[in-house]
Amino acid sequence: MELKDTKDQPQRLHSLDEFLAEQIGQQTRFPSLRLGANGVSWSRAGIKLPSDGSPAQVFAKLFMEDNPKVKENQRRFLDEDDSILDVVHADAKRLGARMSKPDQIKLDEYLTAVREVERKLQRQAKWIDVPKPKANDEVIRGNDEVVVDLNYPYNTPVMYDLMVLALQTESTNVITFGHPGGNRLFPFEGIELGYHSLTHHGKRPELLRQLTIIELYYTQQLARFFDRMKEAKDAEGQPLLDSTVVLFGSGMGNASSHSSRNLPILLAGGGFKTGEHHRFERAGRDGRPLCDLFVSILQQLGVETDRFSTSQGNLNHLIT
Amino acid sequence: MIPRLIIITFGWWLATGLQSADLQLFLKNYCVQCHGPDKQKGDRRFDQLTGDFTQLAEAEAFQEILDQLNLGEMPPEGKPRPNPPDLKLIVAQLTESLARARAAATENSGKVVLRRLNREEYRNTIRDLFGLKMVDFDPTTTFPPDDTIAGFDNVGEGLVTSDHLLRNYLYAARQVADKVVRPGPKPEMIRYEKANEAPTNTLEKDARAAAGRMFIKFRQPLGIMQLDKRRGVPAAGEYVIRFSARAIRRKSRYKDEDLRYNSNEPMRLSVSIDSRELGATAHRIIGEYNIPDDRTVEIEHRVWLEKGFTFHVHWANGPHGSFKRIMRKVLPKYNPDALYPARNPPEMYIGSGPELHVYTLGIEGPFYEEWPLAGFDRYFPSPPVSPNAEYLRSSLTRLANAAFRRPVTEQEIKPYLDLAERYLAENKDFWAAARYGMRAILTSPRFLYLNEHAPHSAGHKLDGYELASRLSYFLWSSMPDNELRAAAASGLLKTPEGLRGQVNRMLRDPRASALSKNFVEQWLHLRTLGEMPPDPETNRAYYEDDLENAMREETRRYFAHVLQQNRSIQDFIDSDYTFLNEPLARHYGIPGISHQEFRQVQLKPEHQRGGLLGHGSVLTATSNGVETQPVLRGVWILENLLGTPPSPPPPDIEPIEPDVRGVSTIRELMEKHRNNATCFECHRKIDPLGLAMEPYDFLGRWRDRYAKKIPLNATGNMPDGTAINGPVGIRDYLKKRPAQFTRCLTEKLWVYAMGRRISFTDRDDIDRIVAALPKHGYGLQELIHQIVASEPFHSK
Repeated sequence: MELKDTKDQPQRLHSLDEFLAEQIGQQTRFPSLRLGANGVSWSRAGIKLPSDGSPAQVFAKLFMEDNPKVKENQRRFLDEDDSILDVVHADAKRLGARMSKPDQIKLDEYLTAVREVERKLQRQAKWIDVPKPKANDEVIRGNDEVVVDLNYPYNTPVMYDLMVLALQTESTNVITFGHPGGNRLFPFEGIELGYHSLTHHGKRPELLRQLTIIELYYTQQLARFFDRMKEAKDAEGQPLLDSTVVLFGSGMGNASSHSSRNLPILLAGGGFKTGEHHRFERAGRDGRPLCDLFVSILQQLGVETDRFSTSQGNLNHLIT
Repeated sequence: MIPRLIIITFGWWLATGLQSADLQLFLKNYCVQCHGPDKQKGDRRFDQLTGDFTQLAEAEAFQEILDQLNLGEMPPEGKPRPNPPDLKLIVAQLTESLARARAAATENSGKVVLRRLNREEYRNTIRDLFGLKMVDFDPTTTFPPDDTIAGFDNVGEGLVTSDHLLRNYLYAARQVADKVVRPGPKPEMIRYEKANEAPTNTLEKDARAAAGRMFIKFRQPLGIMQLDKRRGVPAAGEYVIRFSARAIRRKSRYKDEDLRYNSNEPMRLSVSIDSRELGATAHRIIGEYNIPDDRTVEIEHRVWLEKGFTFHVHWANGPHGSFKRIMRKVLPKYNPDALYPARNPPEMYIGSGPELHVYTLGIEGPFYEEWPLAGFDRYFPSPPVSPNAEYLRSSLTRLANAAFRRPVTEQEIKPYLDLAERYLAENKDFWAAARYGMRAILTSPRFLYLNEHAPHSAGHKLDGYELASRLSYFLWSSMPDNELRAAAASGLLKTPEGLRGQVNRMLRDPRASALSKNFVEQWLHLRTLGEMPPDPETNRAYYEDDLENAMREETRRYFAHVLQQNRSIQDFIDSDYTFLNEPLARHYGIPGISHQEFRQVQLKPEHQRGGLLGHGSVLTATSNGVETQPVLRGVWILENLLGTPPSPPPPDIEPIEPDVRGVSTIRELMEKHRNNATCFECHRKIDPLGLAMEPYDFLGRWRDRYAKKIPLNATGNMPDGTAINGPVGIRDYLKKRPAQFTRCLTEKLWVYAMGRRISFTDRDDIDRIVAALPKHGYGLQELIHQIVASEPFHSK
């Protein structure tokens, strides 16, 4: 399914993380956390949602307590906005009464949006008085012994560390992290071309060599994240990784040709059966849509469903 | 003779009368065995399909069948397969039926679906409603992007209102209200300028005095103590922060690892703002500047500050860690005298390592050109000393009349006024209540949507106010101004001369630049320009000369020129002029241009330019920053110049991987399209156009051959068989058929003007316009007049 297929039904773009946030994310302060410079999340209405690429801002959002004056303002704004929404909702209904049917259907979006915002405002109001968990800001500032570099691409390990902290402190149950793309020059020895240029390697060995350096770095950061997730313990004293499903991959199997087949996907944690390489043949008869994996993930996380988006089945027989 | 006649008639009958039976037979022969009552491979069953494409589920099933046939995936090997002519026939039938089904499903019979303001329109409307300069103020930065339909983001059907957007509207309304509602006298300006500040530590003071300047100690912030003591700026507004700085000893005798610092990077100074009242979570970095080594740089940074905010500057990439660490761990390595860390005075280090020196630091503001603010004065004229509920109600009514773009009735405005008045009664704060009422009005569906309340009978006419809104959002992407509003109120706008007069006035107004920007960028798909920028190392000029913006500017000015001068729209196909500055001319290889600013330039044939096909913007946007993409260019030409867009490709097509080792040219690779009859059906129309454009590289530069002296072949045939060679061939083809491009541009402008897709009910009007335009020299202004005068533009 391509983006343009969903033009008439944008709801089809609802991404896995946002769906999960609705299902398992309502008990935490943040139903989901979207990190990284590249957004990869779409709401139920089919809107692409922004993500936060600044570790300092993410830290502030998760762990810095707003002072009483700010909280007072927040309470006041939430209250005021709630009353505004009541008035505009009623006015919209009045307006809609005189409209044609297609227009009424369109206006329904507005009415639904108002109700949804009211619900979220009320939810937010409840959390204002709950103190945020504490965390040491050395994760973004470093100290005399440890340097923390927030420049690209060295902010990658910092983001991963923030993710571990977020999960440990139960600030959220759903996190997405989109690595930055673009055509910036990786500041590593031996890299001479921008990242995007390297991904259009056209099979040239020189470009593949440089691309490998970058991808090695990112994979090393992922490995380091896994180590941290194994060291960190959840509330029951078990490694955090055991109760966390980690999905790592790309939407392209071959960036040089922009092919979205044969995707490289890595699944870890979450109590799945891991340690194996599963090969799937091309799309068509034996191919598997990625959503089949998503169905298995949803079921593992306790969501009662046997389909998601373009799924045709699930992969339980391979990983549970 | 006779046998041939019979066969032809027989064939026709088959094609029109027995389609459904053809499909059923095809399914029975090739699909149902594995996808039928006995077996449902892949969970698919096709024996129960009736061929009713109006049913969504059927249409989707057939789309999938079509895709699999096009991909050659189905029927699978080992199973009976149709012969190529039969396959081609079925594919053609399915494609045709599905296209018709799609068109029918989205048919709007000429009615615009309730259309909300898109992001650009919202911003412009706020600008005009309150007379704000939107230079440093953009309340829409966090708004989600708008979806496009038929290529434009102002089509009602595609403009969704989500809870995410609504939250943004609430927040934006608060920002706008805070900025607009500023009662009282003009805030007094403050000005702080410091050249030197007494530090608290006496030793450092001596060291600095000896050095004679301020500097930033590693990562500590440097600010203006008086400002901090006074708890920030006294009033909200635009401030100018000034500083002068220089990087000293960026490379020093200390090794980078010891200082934990990168001496290869230029020193960077960042500016942040803080509010003591709001605490740490209000901290924001508002700018970063590279500081040169060889001279003192003077910087002015303009920023909007709320009351109570202060600012500081920081050495963003200075040595990590504390000064204490430097003195205890680093210094002794380099200075044998530094043996007693506890007693080493700072001046042993100061003057030896890298330092960021700030010589002056100042702030001035708030700057207001006029007072009271235009937007405030407009709705709250001469406020009484003790404004009361009456004044609140009358002011907000004034605002609603403007914001809702039509006179509001008492009944309509009552809930908003009651809300604000209740707030006033509870909080006794008049201006807070005024802001509150303003926020409610700006969140109302009467503001956020273009309301055309006519009941849903066919062809109902818009009233004057609705027509005025449609017109102003078409030409200005913003609300009607007072004169247009007055023309609506008096009925002048409903007369042909009155309407024409207003259109002429509006096209001459600076706000018509919105048309050159919003329509053109979307018509020509230029919004993707910049998404895949070329490699910075091998394309320095692109960045140093700011070519991306220059390319955009060329196209924008070109359109604006055709518009302002009412030139023939055929200029978009070819002309002997364009708009260039020196860097862009150099990029194109056009000699003799030295002006840095944009000017109209005469083109000669040897320049290989002319019309939109020679614009760098188009050529770069139809490439991916690394190589050209002929299929993309071919599709672009079909969609935006010929007006005959191809059907969408089947999904999951394995894209061609260009062989940039130089073994094959892109033409040779694209030959693969011939191998599959159904692929070739569309690609024979797309590929030749794209390949004819190959002389323009991925940044729009002209080339006679490929790298490594591989020859470049730009010949091909148009869909109707006409032979072409290179871009000139395409231009000549289009020049001989001016009606084709005329129709294409008319349809594009139509969608943008109406805010909806084209309907079958529009055919006659569009035909009429296409036939009439040659008599007016194909003038672009005339085309706009014709669209605005058409009946659909005046109808709901």
